[in-house]
Amino acid sequence: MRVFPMGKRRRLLSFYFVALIFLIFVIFPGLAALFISPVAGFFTRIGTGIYNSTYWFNNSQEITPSELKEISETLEHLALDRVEFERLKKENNELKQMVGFIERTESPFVSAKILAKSLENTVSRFVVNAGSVQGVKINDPVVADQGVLVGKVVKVTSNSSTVVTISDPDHATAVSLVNEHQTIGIARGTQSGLLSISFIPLDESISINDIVVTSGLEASVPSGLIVGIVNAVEQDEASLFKSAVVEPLIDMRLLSSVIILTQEIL
Amino acid sequence: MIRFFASILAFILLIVLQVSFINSLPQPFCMIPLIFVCSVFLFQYVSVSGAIWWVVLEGAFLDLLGIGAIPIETVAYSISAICIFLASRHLFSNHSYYGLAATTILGLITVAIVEMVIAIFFVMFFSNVLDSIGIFTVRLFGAMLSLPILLLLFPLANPTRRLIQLLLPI
Repeated sequence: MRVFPMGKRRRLLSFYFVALIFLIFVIFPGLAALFISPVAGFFTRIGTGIYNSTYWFNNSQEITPSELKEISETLEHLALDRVEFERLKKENNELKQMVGFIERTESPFVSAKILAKSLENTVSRFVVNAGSVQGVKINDPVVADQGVLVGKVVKVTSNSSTVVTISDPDHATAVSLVNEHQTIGIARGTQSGLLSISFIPLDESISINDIVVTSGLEASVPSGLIVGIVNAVEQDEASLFKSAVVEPLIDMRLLSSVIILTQEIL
Repeated sequence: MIRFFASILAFILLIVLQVSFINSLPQPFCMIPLIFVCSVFLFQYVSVSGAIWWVVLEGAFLDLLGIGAIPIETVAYSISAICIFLASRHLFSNHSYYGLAATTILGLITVAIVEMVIAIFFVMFFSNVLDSIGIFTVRLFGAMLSLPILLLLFPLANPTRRLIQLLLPI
């Protein structure tokens, strides 16, 4: 049964219409984000909220029995009728942290909501509702919470920007370790969602749990933004270098809003 | 013309749900191919011919937003739309759940293969990193998750037809 029989003429007309719409979007790339922006932020917050509420369940296999017992005991003390209060409290704390970070760094910034996320196991790209009109430029660093680096802006339209996260395999960040030698290197994203710092000279002493921060060697990225912590140090006997595996401090999927540090004063 | 704009409006609603809501969900639900499922369901089973364009437009939107797995998703999604069109017209039944499931899976496999070919091209000429496991994982889970969604949609064909005729009478 065909409800809408469609001849060749109509099919051709549809093609022309779709091609026309596509052409308009290509000429005005900001339109795509503009179309979805009225409701996209709302849906992202709902989706991220669901992810937040299932985060503990998804990661429970990584928690030791003693930690699990401790968490369970803590959870028992939480009153169920205070869920709404806790949500508002958390949101308030996040905003306070953002403001605290901005006050500490005195950097010009633009706060933005996430409109869309990439379809991958680990979010490596997302779209935010701030663009060139708000002063955002390509390569501007994007941070969350207390100055934890999330990624960099790779595409800017008038009212939206695309951000690539630090864990993206095609992304690299100039970093230094907070250790005795202030080891510097390039942290690259990997397909597992972790970062890898390669070509570290053997005489550099790196240990697990060393904090990794941005080195400031990139023109647009200030120094001291937290990137992650060293999870493992790998050393091949035949090689003159060693490498470090870095775990980002935040799960990109937990984010529904970010701060973009604009370049003017950096 | 009204039907055309209604179709565009429905697509915008679906793309918002896909890139904002579904992609924010925990795994594996973030890999639900909502637009694929809706497009195949409407095109093959409810006979809404314009729904096939949603697959093409999804690829275009991912490129415009810059959040695709590869730089030119439009090509991958367009080839997939052609495969869906041919499969639903000449290969699989448009009266059975299995026909819908087979077309959806074929469409998703086509996207994965074309994405892989394009990704290899970019690895060779632009030094990008090939995430073959990521591409196939997303499509594999997408195919698995599309089956129960199609099962839920399958009995809704007649109500959907009536709703479309009510809202957009011929």
